[in-house]
Amino acid sequence: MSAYYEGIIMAVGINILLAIGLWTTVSTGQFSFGHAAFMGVGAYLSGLLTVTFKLPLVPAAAVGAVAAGITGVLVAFPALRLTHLYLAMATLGFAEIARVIFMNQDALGGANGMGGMSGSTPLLVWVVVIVSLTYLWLLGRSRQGLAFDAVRQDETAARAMGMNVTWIKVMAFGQGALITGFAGALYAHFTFYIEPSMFGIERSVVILLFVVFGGMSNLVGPVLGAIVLSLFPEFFRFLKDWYLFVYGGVLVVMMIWRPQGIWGQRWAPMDLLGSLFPEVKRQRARRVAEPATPPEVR
Amino acid sequence: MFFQQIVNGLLLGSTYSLTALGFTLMLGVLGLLNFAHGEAFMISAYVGFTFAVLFKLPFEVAAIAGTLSAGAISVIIYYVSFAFVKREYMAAPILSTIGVAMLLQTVATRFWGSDIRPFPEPFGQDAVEVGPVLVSSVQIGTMLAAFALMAGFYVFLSRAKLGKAMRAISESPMHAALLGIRVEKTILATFFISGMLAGIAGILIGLIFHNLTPYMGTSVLLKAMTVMILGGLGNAIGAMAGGLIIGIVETFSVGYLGASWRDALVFVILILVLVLKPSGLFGTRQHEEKL
Repeated sequence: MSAYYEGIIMAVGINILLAIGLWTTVSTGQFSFGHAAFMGVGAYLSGLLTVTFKLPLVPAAAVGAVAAGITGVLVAFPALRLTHLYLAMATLGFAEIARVIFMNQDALGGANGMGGMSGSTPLLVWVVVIVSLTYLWLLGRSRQGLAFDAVRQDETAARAMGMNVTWIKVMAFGQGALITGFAGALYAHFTFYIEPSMFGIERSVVILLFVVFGGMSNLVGPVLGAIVLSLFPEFFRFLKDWYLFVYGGVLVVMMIWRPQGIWGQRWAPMDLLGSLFPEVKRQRARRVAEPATPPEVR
Repeated sequence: MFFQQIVNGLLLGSTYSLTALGFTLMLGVLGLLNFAHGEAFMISAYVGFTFAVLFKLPFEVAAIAGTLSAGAISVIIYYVSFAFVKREYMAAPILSTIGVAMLLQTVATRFWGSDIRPFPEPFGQDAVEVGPVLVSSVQIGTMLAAFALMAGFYVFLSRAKLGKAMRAISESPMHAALLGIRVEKTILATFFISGMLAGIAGILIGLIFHNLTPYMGTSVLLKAMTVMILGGLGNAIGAMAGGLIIGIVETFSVGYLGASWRDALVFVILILVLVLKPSGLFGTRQHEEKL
């Protein structure tokens, strides 16, 4: 297999990990616009361990992933006081802070970045992908996965049933960050070189785009979204510097044509509108409850 | 040094205030979060640059062209990201504006290049000493212009018919429509005005700092978001005061902590406000409930 195809296969695998990492967090109805920061934590810490402390890749990546997961839990606690749109803005702010911290650490190479990592292989990447997917699939059928669904669909009801909503949300954040951190570690040892700007807003948006493009109602969506959107630049090489333009265009067209994603259900159980704006959710619940109300005046 | 920092902070902050005003207007009044708002700011500065430097037109013409282009971009954003996007998926318009921001940024990068371009200096650089502070006439001019605009905008919101219509729609679009307000037209006007405010801020920041990059839209957007949260959602006074505070904090952190920590401190403020007092400094519970 040529190095070119190996590279594509690894990139697709890493993007799948990023997408399902964000999806895990989003599956409780919490939007994060800062998952690139968790990726950065995994990438930098594992890179530091393999380059400076000469650790093998797998334990280093595991340490990086766990650190990212802990960061996720730490971010989740204050962030969970916030709801909806505020959470989106807080995660965005957190990601920017993380980027500035990466930039100001001399041990991490500062703004010049850090190099010398190597060792990601397609086999390793895809083993991690399969393990993560199996884990998430089992999680979806476990008590905890059902709790994620319950919190997403109606937080108040979940709380009334005696669920520890805060704990569930923190777990979703932590596990999502853990997978994202592992993806970051693999990414660092795949590109051989990382710098703070790789983990900025653009990256968070692209990860979000994988999930949104594929659809959020189940695990297939983000995987599909990641595969399609990471192969896209390979098939359309002639686009060169325009491919972000195409990504933007895809996002705009998708939102008009199919906001639930290509694999999403029409009335996705993931209630985006309601998850961001509780007032609208209440209004719609009322509308469903009383179908005989006269049409709204426009 | 201290007073100089305050003056610089007010200068920078006034441009944030202008951008945040439009941002908070769209969110607070219409409930629409526009992540492409910063790009209107960026496009305006570049259009101004193009007219003044490449077409060699007078600066006033360039400034007006830039401002109008920002307004037009904002209206286009309304049609692309809000008018045709289903309201059932509230994240959809937000993501759509992110897509528009990516589009505009790539276009600007391809069109004007990703290098820093110098903005023209039409008014020279004569410095005046006011007490302990050294300010150029351009700086005084931009600050006066920004403050006049903010004051004018406040009067517009509280007195003018269109401003009142906007506030009525913020209360309830349906009741506003029943009372004979043309909701769609007012929303379009809101977007146009918001875009123009961002456009003016873009021209002013070009005048102050003379540097343009295609990526400045994103950074200004994040600042405007912080300003909006700090001042309280949908609160015009809050946006103005918040902008000045963030501007001063930023110049002080550059002066005393080093330039690289500047952005971190602003976002630390964002998160602290969100966690400790989500309604912002001037916000009321009513605005908080909107989200």
